[in-house]
Amino acid sequence: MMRMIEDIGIAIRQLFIGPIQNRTWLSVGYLDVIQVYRRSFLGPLWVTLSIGIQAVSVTFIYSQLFNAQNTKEYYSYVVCGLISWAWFSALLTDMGNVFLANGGYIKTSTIGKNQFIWSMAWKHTIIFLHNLLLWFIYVLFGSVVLSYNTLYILITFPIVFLTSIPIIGMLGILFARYRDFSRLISSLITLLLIITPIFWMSSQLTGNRQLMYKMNPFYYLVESLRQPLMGNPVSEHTWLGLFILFFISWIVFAVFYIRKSPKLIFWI
Amino acid sequence: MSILLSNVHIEIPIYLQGYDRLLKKPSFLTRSVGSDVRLSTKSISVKAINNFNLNLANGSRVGLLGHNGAGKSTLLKAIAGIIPCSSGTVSVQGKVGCIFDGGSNFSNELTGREIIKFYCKIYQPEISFKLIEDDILDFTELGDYIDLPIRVYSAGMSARLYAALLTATKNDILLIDEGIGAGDMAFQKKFNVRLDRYLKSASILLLASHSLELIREYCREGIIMKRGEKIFQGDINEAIQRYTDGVES
Repeated sequence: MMRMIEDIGIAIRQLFIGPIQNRTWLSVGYLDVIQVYRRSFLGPLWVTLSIGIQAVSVTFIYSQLFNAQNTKEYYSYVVCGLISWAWFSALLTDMGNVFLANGGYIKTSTIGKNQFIWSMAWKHTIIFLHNLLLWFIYVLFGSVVLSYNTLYILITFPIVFLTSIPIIGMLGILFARYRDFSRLISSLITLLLIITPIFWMSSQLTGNRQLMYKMNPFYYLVESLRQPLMGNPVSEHTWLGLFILFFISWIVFAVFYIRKSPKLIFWI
Repeated sequence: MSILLSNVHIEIPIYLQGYDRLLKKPSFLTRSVGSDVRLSTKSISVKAINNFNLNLANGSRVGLLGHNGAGKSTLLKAIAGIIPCSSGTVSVQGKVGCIFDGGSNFSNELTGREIIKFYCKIYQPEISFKLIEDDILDFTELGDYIDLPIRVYSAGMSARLYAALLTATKNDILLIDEGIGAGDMAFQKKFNVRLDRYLKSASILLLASHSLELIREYCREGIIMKRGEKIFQGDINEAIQRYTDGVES
Protein backbone atom coordinates (compact mmCIF):
# COMPACT_ATOMS: atom_id res chain seq x y z
CA MET A 1 0.00 0.00 0.00
CA MET A 2 2.83 2.37 0.93
CA ARG A 3 4.57 1.60 -2.36
CA MET A 4 1.37 2.37 -4.26
CA ILE A 5 1.05 5.74 -2.52
CA GLU A 6 4.72 6.49 -3.29
CA ASP A 7 4.16 5.51 -6.94
CA ILE A 8 1.15 7.81 -7.17
CA GLY A 9 3.23 10.67 -5.74
CA ILE A 10 6.05 10.08 -8.24
CA ALA A 11 3.59 9.71 -11.11
CA ILE A 12 1.81 12.95 -10.23
CA ARG A 13 5.15 14.79 -10.13
CA GLN A 14 6.28 13.24 -13.43
CA LEU A 15 3.03 13.24 -15.34
CA PHE A 16 1.08 16.15 -13.98
CA ILE A 17 3.35 18.78 -12.48
CA GLY A 18 6.25 18.11 -14.91
CA PRO A 19 4.32 18.88 -18.11
CA ILE A 20 2.68 21.93 -16.52
CA GLN A 21 6.14 23.36 -15.76
CA ASN A 22 7.80 22.26 -19.02
CA ARG A 23 5.39 22.79 -21.89
CA THR A 24 7.37 21.21 -24.74
CA TRP A 25 4.22 19.14 -25.42
CA LEU A 26 2.47 22.24 -26.77
CA SER A 27 5.04 22.51 -29.58
CA VAL A 28 5.18 18.74 -30.27
CA GLY A 29 1.38 18.53 -30.52
CA TYR A 30 1.12 21.60 -32.73
CA LEU A 31 3.94 20.30 -34.94
CA ASP A 32 2.10 16.97 -35.29
CA VAL A 33 -0.99 18.75 -36.61
CA ILE A 34 1.10 20.82 -39.03
CA GLN A 35 3.05 17.82 -40.30
CA VAL A 36 0.00 15.62 -40.80
CA TYR A 37 -1.94 18.25 -42.72
CA ARG A 38 0.88 20.00 -44.63
CA ARG A 39 0.03 20.35 -48.33
CA SER A 40 -3.60 19.62 -47.54
CA PHE A 41 -6.01 22.41 -48.52
CA LEU A 42 -8.49 21.96 -45.67
CA GLY A 43 -6.15 20.40 -43.12
CA PRO A 44 -7.93 19.23 -39.96
CA LEU A 45 -11.14 20.73 -41.36
CA TRP A 46 -11.44 17.52 -43.40
CA VAL A 47 -12.37 15.83 -40.15
CA THR A 48 -14.89 18.60 -39.44
CA LEU A 49 -16.37 18.23 -42.91
CA SER A 50 -16.73 14.47 -42.57
CA ILE A 51 -18.45 14.88 -39.18
CA GLY A 52 -20.78 17.42 -40.78
CA ILE A 53 -21.70 15.06 -43.63
CA GLN A 54 -22.17 12.20 -41.16
CA ALA A 55 -24.37 14.38 -38.90
CA VAL A 56 -26.61 15.51 -41.76
CA SER A 57 -26.97 11.98 -43.17
CA VAL A 58 -27.65 10.38 -39.80
CA THR A 59 -30.20 12.96 -38.66
CA PHE A 60 -32.00 12.78 -42.01
CA ILE A 61 -32.50 9.01 -41.79
CA TYR A 62 -32.51 8.27 -38.06
CA SER A 63 -34.93 11.07 -37.14
CA GLN A 64 -37.56 9.11 -39.06
CA LEU A 65 -36.36 5.68 -37.89
CA PHE A 66 -36.50 6.79 -34.26
CA ASN A 67 -39.67 8.74 -34.93
CA ALA A 68 -38.11 11.83 -33.35
CA GLN A 69 -40.86 14.24 -32.32
CA ASN A 70 -38.54 17.20 -31.99
CA THR A 71 -36.33 17.07 -35.09
CA LYS A 72 -34.40 20.21 -34.13
CA GLU A 73 -33.42 18.75 -30.77
CA TYR A 74 -32.40 15.49 -32.43
CA TYR A 75 -30.20 17.44 -34.89
CA SER A 76 -28.55 19.17 -31.98
CA TYR A 77 -28.17 15.86 -30.09
CA VAL A 78 -26.50 14.07 -33.00
CA VAL A 79 -24.12 16.83 -34.09
CA CYS A 80 -22.95 17.59 -30.53
CA GLY A 81 -22.64 13.85 -29.88
CA LEU A 82 -20.58 13.31 -33.02
CA ILE A 83 -18.27 16.25 -32.22
CA SER A 84 -17.74 14.82 -28.72
CA TRP A 85 -17.34 11.27 -30.01
CA ALA A 86 -14.80 12.44 -32.62
CA TRP A 87 -12.44 13.50 -29.80
CA PHE A 88 -12.53 10.02 -28.23
CA SER A 89 -12.51 7.94 -31.41
CA ALA A 90 -9.58 9.90 -32.88
CA LEU A 91 -7.70 9.60 -29.61
CA LEU A 92 -8.42 5.88 -29.34
CA THR A 93 -7.15 5.34 -32.88
CA ASP A 94 -4.04 7.43 -32.32
CA MET A 95 -3.11 6.92 -28.69
CA GLY A 96 -1.58 3.49 -29.11
CA ASN A 97 1.09 5.00 -31.32
CA VAL A 98 2.01 7.75 -28.88
CA PHE A 99 5.42 6.28 -28.08
CA LEU A 100 5.98 4.43 -31.35
CA ALA A 101 5.39 7.54 -33.44
CA ASN A 102 7.66 9.60 -31.19
CA GLY A 103 10.32 6.90 -30.98
CA GLY A 104 12.80 9.16 -32.77
CA TYR A 105 12.63 11.70 -29.94
CA ILE A 106 12.52 9.11 -27.17
CA LYS A 107 15.54 7.16 -28.42
CA THR A 108 17.77 10.13 -29.16
CA SER A 109 16.88 12.94 -26.77
CA THR A 110 16.37 13.65 -23.12
CA ILE A 111 12.79 14.88 -23.63
CA GLY A 112 10.58 13.15 -21.06
CA LYS A 113 8.14 10.51 -22.25
CA ASN A 114 5.38 12.33 -20.38
CA GLN A 115 5.67 15.19 -22.88
CA PHE A 116 4.48 12.94 -25.71
CA ILE A 117 1.43 11.79 -23.77
CA TRP A 118 0.39 15.41 -23.26
CA SER A 119 1.28 16.34 -26.84
CA MET A 120 -1.14 13.74 -28.18
CA ALA A 121 -3.98 15.06 -26.03
CA TRP A 122 -3.09 18.60 -27.17
CA LYS A 123 -2.98 17.58 -30.85
CA HIS A 124 -6.51 16.22 -30.59
CA THR A 125 -7.61 19.30 -28.66
CA ILE A 126 -6.53 21.41 -31.64
CA ILE A 127 -8.55 19.15 -33.94
CA PHE A 128 -11.50 19.32 -31.50
CA LEU A 129 -11.36 23.12 -31.70
CA HIS A 130 -11.57 22.84 -35.49
CA ASN A 131 -14.61 20.60 -35.10
CA LEU A 132 -16.31 23.23 -32.96
CA LEU A 133 -16.61 25.26 -36.17
CA LEU A 134 -19.37 22.85 -37.14
CA TRP A 135 -21.04 23.49 -33.79
CA PHE A 136 -20.84 27.25 -34.46
CA ILE A 137 -22.57 26.74 -37.82
CA TYR A 138 -25.39 24.86 -36.07
CA VAL A 139 -25.59 27.67 -33.49
CA LEU A 140 -25.83 30.28 -36.27
CA PHE A 141 -28.64 28.35 -37.94
CA GLY A 142 -30.43 27.99 -34.62
CA SER A 143 -30.23 24.18 -34.52
CA VAL A 144 -28.18 24.40 -31.32
CA VAL A 145 -29.30 26.82 -28.63
CA LEU A 146 -26.72 28.59 -26.50
CA SER A 147 -27.28 29.11 -22.79
CA TYR A 148 -25.26 29.70 -19.63
CA ASN A 149 -24.99 25.91 -19.40
CA THR A 150 -22.74 26.00 -22.46
CA LEU A 151 -20.06 27.46 -20.17
CA TYR A 152 -19.85 24.06 -18.43
CA ILE A 153 -17.68 22.98 -21.37
CA LEU A 154 -14.93 25.14 -19.87
CA ILE A 155 -14.95 22.82 -16.85
CA THR A 156 -15.80 19.47 -18.42
CA PHE A 157 -13.35 19.66 -21.30
CA PRO A 158 -10.28 20.20 -19.08
CA ILE A 159 -11.41 17.25 -16.93
CA VAL A 160 -11.86 15.09 -20.05
CA PHE A 161 -8.44 16.29 -21.28
CA LEU A 162 -6.80 15.33 -17.99
CA THR A 163 -8.64 11.98 -17.92
CA SER A 164 -7.30 11.21 -21.38
CA ILE A 165 -3.67 11.58 -20.18
CA PRO A 166 -3.51 8.34 -18.15
CA ILE A 167 -5.52 6.45 -20.78
CA ILE A 168 -3.13 7.56 -23.55
CA GLY A 169 -0.16 6.61 -21.39
CA MET A 170 -1.45 3.16 -20.51
CA LEU A 171 -2.52 2.25 -24.03
CA GLY A 172 0.70 3.72 -25.44
CA ILE A 173 2.78 1.42 -23.24
CA LEU A 174 0.59 -1.61 -23.98
CA PHE A 175 0.68 -0.96 -27.73
CA ALA A 176 4.43 -0.54 -27.70
CA ARG A 177 4.85 -3.91 -25.98
CA TYR A 178 2.07 -5.84 -27.69
CA ARG A 179 1.42 -4.77 -31.26
CA ASP A 180 -1.78 -6.85 -31.38
CA PHE A 181 -3.67 -4.17 -29.49
CA SER A 182 -3.74 -1.76 -32.44
CA ARG A 183 -5.88 -4.23 -34.38
CA LEU A 184 -8.09 -4.81 -31.37
CA ILE A 185 -8.76 -1.10 -30.88
CA SER A 186 -9.72 -0.45 -34.50
CA SER A 187 -12.34 -3.21 -34.21
CA LEU A 188 -13.52 -1.89 -30.86
CA ILE A 189 -14.17 1.65 -32.10
CA THR A 190 -17.02 0.56 -34.37
CA LEU A 191 -18.52 -1.47 -31.54
CA LEU A 192 -18.19 1.46 -29.11
CA LEU A 193 -19.91 3.79 -31.58
CA ILE A 194 -22.85 1.38 -31.72
CA ILE A 195 -23.18 0.78 -27.98
CA THR A 196 -22.60 4.40 -26.91
CA PRO A 197 -25.59 6.74 -27.18
CA ILE A 198 -24.42 8.91 -30.06
CA PHE A 199 -27.26 8.44 -32.57
CA TRP A 200 -29.76 6.96 -30.13
CA MET A 201 -30.84 8.35 -26.78
CA SER A 202 -30.17 6.64 -23.48
CA SER A 203 -33.85 7.12 -22.55
CA GLN A 204 -34.81 4.78 -25.40
CA LEU A 205 -33.36 1.81 -23.52
CA THR A 206 -35.31 0.19 -20.71
CA GLY A 207 -34.70 -2.57 -18.18
CA ASN A 208 -31.38 -4.41 -18.11
CA ARG A 209 -30.41 -2.94 -21.49
CA GLN A 210 -29.75 0.34 -19.68
CA LEU A 211 -26.56 -1.27 -18.40
CA MET A 212 -25.23 -0.90 -21.97
CA TYR A 213 -24.68 2.77 -21.37
CA LYS A 214 -24.59 2.92 -17.58
CA MET A 215 -21.53 0.64 -17.50
CA ASN A 216 -19.96 2.30 -20.53
CA PRO A 217 -17.33 4.90 -19.56
CA PHE A 218 -17.59 6.56 -22.95
CA TYR A 219 -21.20 7.45 -22.21
CA TYR A 220 -20.11 9.70 -19.33
CA LEU A 221 -17.22 11.15 -21.31
CA VAL A 222 -19.39 11.93 -24.34
CA GLU A 223 -22.24 13.28 -22.20
CA SER A 224 -19.90 15.62 -20.32
CA LEU A 225 -19.05 17.35 -23.59
CA ARG A 226 -22.33 16.94 -25.44
CA GLN A 227 -24.73 18.37 -22.84
CA PRO A 228 -22.90 21.72 -22.47
CA LEU A 229 -22.54 21.96 -26.27
CA MET A 230 -26.33 21.48 -26.52
CA GLY A 231 -26.81 24.21 -23.91
CA ASN A 232 -28.00 21.72 -21.30
CA PRO A 233 -26.72 21.30 -17.74
CA VAL A 234 -24.47 18.34 -17.00
CA SER A 235 -26.43 15.77 -15.02
CA GLU A 236 -25.33 14.66 -11.56
CA HIS A 237 -24.68 11.09 -12.65
CA THR A 238 -22.50 12.35 -15.53
CA TRP A 239 -20.42 14.44 -13.09
CA LEU A 240 -20.12 11.42 -10.81
CA GLY A 241 -19.11 9.12 -13.68
CA LEU A 242 -16.58 11.67 -14.93
CA PHE A 243 -14.91 12.12 -11.56
CA ILE A 244 -14.82 8.37 -10.89
CA LEU A 245 -13.16 7.83 -14.29
CA PHE A 246 -10.71 10.64 -13.63
CA PHE A 247 -9.53 9.30 -10.29
CA ILE A 248 -9.52 5.60 -11.20
CA SER A 249 -7.61 6.16 -14.44
CA TRP A 250 -4.97 8.30 -12.68
CA ILE A 251 -4.49 5.85 -9.80
CA VAL A 252 -4.24 2.80 -12.08
CA PHE A 253 -1.98 4.65 -14.49
CA ALA A 254 0.31 5.93 -11.76
CA VAL A 255 1.08 2.41 -10.55
CA PHE A 256 1.30 1.04 -14.10
CA TYR A 257 3.43 3.87 -15.51
CA ILE A 258 6.00 3.91 -12.73
CA ARG A 259 6.59 0.18 -13.08
CA LYS A 260 6.49 -0.18 -16.86
CA SER A 261 7.72 3.08 -18.39
CA PRO A 262 11.46 2.46 -17.74
CA LYS A 263 11.22 -0.57 -20.07
CA LEU A 264 9.51 1.40 -22.80
CA ILE A 265 12.77 2.31 -24.54
CA PHE A 266 13.31 -1.40 -25.28
CA TRP A 267 9.87 -1.80 -26.84
CA ILE A 268 9.97 0.98 -29.42
CA MET B 1 29.58 19.34 -13.40
CA SER B 2 30.21 15.62 -13.00
CA ILE B 3 29.33 12.14 -14.22
CA LEU B 4 29.49 9.25 -11.80
CA LEU B 5 28.72 5.66 -12.77
CA SER B 6 28.91 2.99 -10.14
CA ASN B 7 28.74 -0.76 -10.92
CA VAL B 8 26.43 -0.17 -13.85
CA HIS B 9 24.93 -3.19 -15.56
CA ILE B 10 22.56 -2.86 -18.49
CA GLU B 11 20.73 -5.79 -19.99
CA ILE B 12 18.74 -5.08 -23.12
CA PRO B 13 15.83 -7.46 -23.72
CA ILE B 14 15.55 -8.61 -27.31
CA TYR B 15 12.18 -8.85 -28.98
CA LEU B 16 12.54 -10.99 -32.04
CA GLN B 17 10.39 -10.93 -35.11
CA GLY B 18 7.18 -12.49 -33.90
CA TYR B 19 8.12 -12.06 -30.24
CA ASP B 20 6.12 -8.85 -30.07
CA ARG B 21 3.00 -10.71 -31.04
CA LEU B 22 1.01 -11.59 -28.01
CA LEU B 23 0.37 -15.24 -28.77
CA LYS B 24 3.63 -16.25 -30.37
CA LYS B 25 6.94 -16.88 -28.63
CA PRO B 26 10.28 -17.35 -30.36
CA SER B 27 11.58 -20.89 -30.54
CA PHE B 28 15.25 -19.99 -30.64
CA LEU B 29 17.61 -17.09 -31.04
CA THR B 30 20.94 -16.92 -32.80
CA ARG B 31 22.22 -13.47 -33.52
CA SER B 32 25.71 -12.05 -33.86
CA VAL B 33 26.04 -9.07 -31.54
CA GLY B 34 28.88 -7.27 -29.89
CA SER B 35 27.99 -8.22 -26.34
CA ASP B 36 27.02 -11.44 -24.62
CA VAL B 37 23.55 -12.78 -25.28
CA ARG B 38 21.82 -14.33 -22.31
CA LEU B 39 19.29 -17.01 -23.10
CA SER B 40 16.83 -18.29 -20.57
CA THR B 41 13.52 -20.05 -20.80
CA LYS B 42 11.67 -16.79 -20.15
CA SER B 43 13.71 -14.09 -21.85
CA ILE B 44 16.51 -13.24 -24.18
CA SER B 45 18.75 -10.31 -23.44
CA VAL B 46 22.03 -8.72 -24.37
CA LYS B 47 24.48 -7.77 -21.66
CA ALA B 48 25.19 -4.37 -23.18
CA ILE B 49 27.07 -2.87 -20.22
CA ASN B 50 28.80 -4.97 -17.60
CA ASN B 51 30.02 -3.63 -14.25
CA PHE B 52 30.98 -0.20 -15.55
CA ASN B 53 32.47 2.44 -13.28
CA LEU B 54 33.27 5.99 -14.33
CA ASN B 55 34.03 9.23 -12.56
CA LEU B 56 34.35 12.35 -14.70
CA ALA B 57 34.71 15.90 -13.41
CA ASN B 58 35.00 19.35 -15.00
CA GLY B 59 37.49 19.43 -17.84
CA SER B 60 37.16 15.74 -18.74
CA ARG B 61 37.35 15.08 -22.47
CA VAL B 62 36.95 11.39 -23.09
CA GLY B 63 36.92 9.41 -26.31
CA LEU B 64 35.10 6.08 -26.37
CA LEU B 65 36.71 3.44 -28.56
CA GLY B 66 35.43 -0.01 -29.40
CA HIS B 67 34.13 -2.17 -32.18
CA ASN B 68 30.49 -2.14 -33.28
CA GLY B 69 28.26 -3.34 -30.49
CA ALA B 70 30.88 -2.82 -27.78
CA GLY B 71 28.39 -0.75 -25.78
CA LYS B 72 29.53 2.82 -26.55
CA SER B 73 26.11 4.11 -27.62
CA THR B 74 24.34 2.28 -24.79
CA LEU B 75 26.74 3.82 -22.27
CA LEU B 76 26.13 7.34 -23.63
CA LYS B 77 22.36 6.81 -23.60
CA ALA B 78 22.51 5.52 -20.03
CA ILE B 79 24.38 8.68 -18.99
CA ALA B 80 21.77 10.78 -20.84
CA GLY B 81 19.03 8.94 -18.93
CA ILE B 82 17.50 7.47 -22.08
CA ILE B 83 18.30 3.83 -21.24
CA PRO B 84 17.71 2.64 -17.65
CA CYS B 85 20.31 0.63 -15.73
CA SER B 86 19.48 -2.94 -14.76
CA SER B 87 21.60 -2.36 -11.64
CA GLY B 88 24.09 0.19 -10.36
CA THR B 89 23.74 3.96 -10.29
CA VAL B 90 24.22 6.82 -12.72
CA SER B 91 24.56 10.31 -11.31
CA VAL B 92 24.89 13.31 -13.62
CA GLN B 93 25.26 16.91 -12.49
CA GLY B 94 24.87 19.55 -15.22
CA LYS B 95 22.87 20.30 -18.33
CA VAL B 96 23.27 17.44 -20.79
CA GLY B 97 23.32 17.91 -24.54
CA CYS B 98 23.42 14.84 -26.72
CA ILE B 99 23.90 14.13 -30.37
CA PHE B 100 22.80 10.62 -31.21
CA ASP B 101 22.24 9.29 -34.67
CA GLY B 102 18.56 8.67 -35.08
CA GLY B 103 17.54 10.65 -38.13
CA SER B 104 15.36 13.71 -38.10
CA ASN B 105 11.98 13.80 -36.39
CA PHE B 106 10.81 16.53 -38.73
CA SER B 107 8.78 16.13 -41.91
CA ASN B 108 10.45 17.08 -45.20
CA GLU B 109 7.42 19.28 -45.83
CA LEU B 110 8.53 21.78 -43.20
CA THR B 111 10.58 24.77 -44.27
CA GLY B 112 14.07 25.35 -42.96
CA ARG B 113 12.79 28.25 -40.84
CA GLU B 114 10.02 26.08 -39.36
CA ILE B 115 12.56 23.41 -38.50
CA ILE B 116 14.72 25.97 -36.69
CA LYS B 117 11.65 27.20 -34.82
CA PHE B 118 10.38 23.78 -33.77
CA TYR B 119 13.86 22.48 -33.02
CA CYS B 120 14.30 25.34 -30.53
CA LYS B 121 10.85 24.97 -29.04
CA ILE B 122 11.14 21.20 -28.61
CA TYR B 123 14.80 20.59 -27.86
CA GLN B 124 15.87 23.91 -26.31
CA PRO B 125 12.67 25.52 -24.95
CA GLU B 126 14.63 27.71 -22.55
CA ILE B 127 16.46 29.49 -25.39
CA SER B 128 14.94 32.22 -27.54
CA PHE B 129 14.14 31.03 -31.05
CA LYS B 130 15.03 34.46 -32.48
CA LEU B 131 18.56 34.28 -31.05
CA ILE B 132 19.24 30.89 -32.65
CA GLU B 133 17.45 31.75 -35.90
CA ASP B 134 19.75 34.67 -36.71
CA ASP B 135 22.85 32.63 -35.89
CA ILE B 136 21.76 29.72 -38.09
CA LEU B 137 20.63 31.88 -41.01
CA ASP B 138 23.98 33.60 -40.95
CA PHE B 139 25.97 30.40 -40.58
CA THR B 140 24.22 28.11 -43.07
CA GLU B 141 24.11 30.69 -45.91
CA LEU B 142 20.86 29.10 -47.09
CA GLY B 143 19.42 32.48 -48.11
CA ASP B 144 15.90 32.31 -49.51
CA TYR B 145 15.98 28.51 -49.33
CA ILE B 146 15.27 28.85 -45.62
CA ASP B 147 11.61 29.50 -46.47
CA LEU B 148 11.29 26.47 -48.78
CA PRO B 149 10.37 22.93 -47.66
CA ILE B 150 13.52 20.95 -46.96
CA ARG B 151 12.45 18.27 -49.43
CA VAL B 152 13.84 20.58 -52.12
CA TYR B 153 17.20 20.87 -50.32
CA SER B 154 20.22 18.93 -51.52
CA ALA B 155 21.74 16.47 -49.02
CA GLY B 156 24.49 19.00 -48.34
CA MET B 157 22.03 21.81 -47.62
CA SER B 158 20.10 19.63 -45.15
CA ALA B 159 23.38 18.61 -43.53
CA ARG B 160 24.30 22.30 -43.12
CA LEU B 161 21.00 23.08 -41.46
CA TYR B 162 21.06 20.15 -39.02
CA ALA B 163 24.77 20.55 -38.24
CA ALA B 164 24.15 24.23 -37.45
CA LEU B 165 21.15 23.37 -35.26
CA LEU B 166 22.98 20.68 -33.32
CA THR B 167 25.84 23.04 -32.54
CA ALA B 168 23.73 26.12 -31.81
CA THR B 169 23.45 25.82 -28.05
CA LYS B 170 25.78 25.52 -25.10
CA ASN B 171 25.67 22.55 -22.73
CA ASP B 172 27.61 21.62 -19.60
CA ILE B 173 27.98 18.00 -20.64
CA LEU B 174 28.17 16.82 -24.24
CA LEU B 175 27.50 13.23 -25.25
CA ILE B 176 28.21 12.60 -28.91
CA ASP B 177 27.76 9.33 -30.75
CA GLU B 178 29.67 9.43 -34.03
CA GLY B 179 30.76 12.68 -35.66
CA ILE B 180 28.76 15.42 -37.31
CA GLY B 181 29.25 16.18 -40.99
CA ALA B 182 28.29 19.36 -42.77
CA GLY B 183 28.15 19.44 -46.52
CA ASP B 184 30.87 20.23 -49.02
CA MET B 185 34.61 20.70 -48.40
CA ALA B 186 34.47 24.51 -48.38
CA PHE B 187 31.65 24.56 -45.83
CA GLN B 188 33.26 21.79 -43.77
CA LYS B 189 36.17 24.13 -42.97
CA LYS B 190 33.75 26.79 -41.76
CA PHE B 191 31.86 24.18 -39.78
CA ASN B 192 35.03 22.84 -38.16
CA VAL B 193 35.59 26.24 -36.55
CA ARG B 194 32.03 26.16 -35.18
CA LEU B 195 32.36 22.54 -34.06
CA ASP B 196 35.62 23.34 -32.33
CA ARG B 197 33.97 26.19 -30.39
CA TYR B 198 30.97 24.00 -29.59
CA LEU B 199 32.96 21.05 -28.27
CA LYS B 200 35.32 23.24 -26.27
CA SER B 201 32.42 25.10 -24.65
CA ALA B 202 31.34 21.98 -22.73
CA SER B 203 32.81 21.23 -19.33
CA ILE B 204 32.66 17.49 -19.93
CA LEU B 205 32.86 15.81 -23.33
CA LEU B 206 32.21 12.15 -24.07
CA LEU B 207 32.72 11.34 -27.71
CA ALA B 208 32.16 7.93 -29.28
CA SER B 209 33.48 7.71 -32.78
CA HIS B 210 35.27 5.48 -35.23
CA SER B 211 37.14 8.57 -36.44
CA LEU B 212 40.41 8.32 -34.51
CA GLU B 213 41.40 11.71 -35.92
CA LEU B 214 38.36 13.39 -34.37
CA ILE B 215 38.89 11.65 -31.03
CA ARG B 216 42.59 12.51 -30.94
CA GLU B 217 41.83 16.17 -31.67
CA TYR B 218 39.19 16.73 -29.00
CA CYS B 219 39.88 14.16 -26.28
CA ARG B 220 42.62 13.92 -23.69
CA GLU B 221 41.56 10.58 -22.28
CA GLY B 222 40.41 7.37 -23.95
CA ILE B 223 38.29 4.44 -22.87
CA ILE B 224 38.37 1.17 -24.80
CA MET B 225 35.22 -0.91 -24.52
CA LYS B 226 34.75 -4.55 -25.39
CA ARG B 227 31.60 -6.59 -24.86
CA GLY B 228 30.14 -3.92 -22.60
CA GLU B 229 33.19 -3.74 -20.35
CA LYS B 230 35.87 -1.14 -19.92
CA ILE B 231 39.18 -2.79 -20.77
CA PHE B 232 41.32 0.34 -20.72
CA GLN B 233 41.13 3.92 -19.50
CA GLY B 234 44.03 6.31 -19.83
CA ASP B 235 45.88 8.75 -22.06
CA ILE B 236 44.19 9.20 -25.45
CA ASN B 237 47.32 8.40 -27.50
CA GLU B 238 47.91 5.19 -25.57
CA ALA B 239 44.22 4.26 -25.87
CA ILE B 240 44.28 4.78 -29.63
CA GLN B 241 47.51 2.78 -29.92
CA ARG B 242 46.07 -0.11 -27.88
CA TYR B 243 42.81 0.02 -29.83
CA THR B 244 44.50 -0.03 -33.25
CA ASP B 245 46.87 -2.79 -32.11
CA GLY B 246 43.87 -4.80 -31.00
CA VAL B 247 42.03 -4.22 -34.26
CA GLU B 248 45.04 -5.19 -36.38
CA SER B 249 45.97 -8.29 -34.35
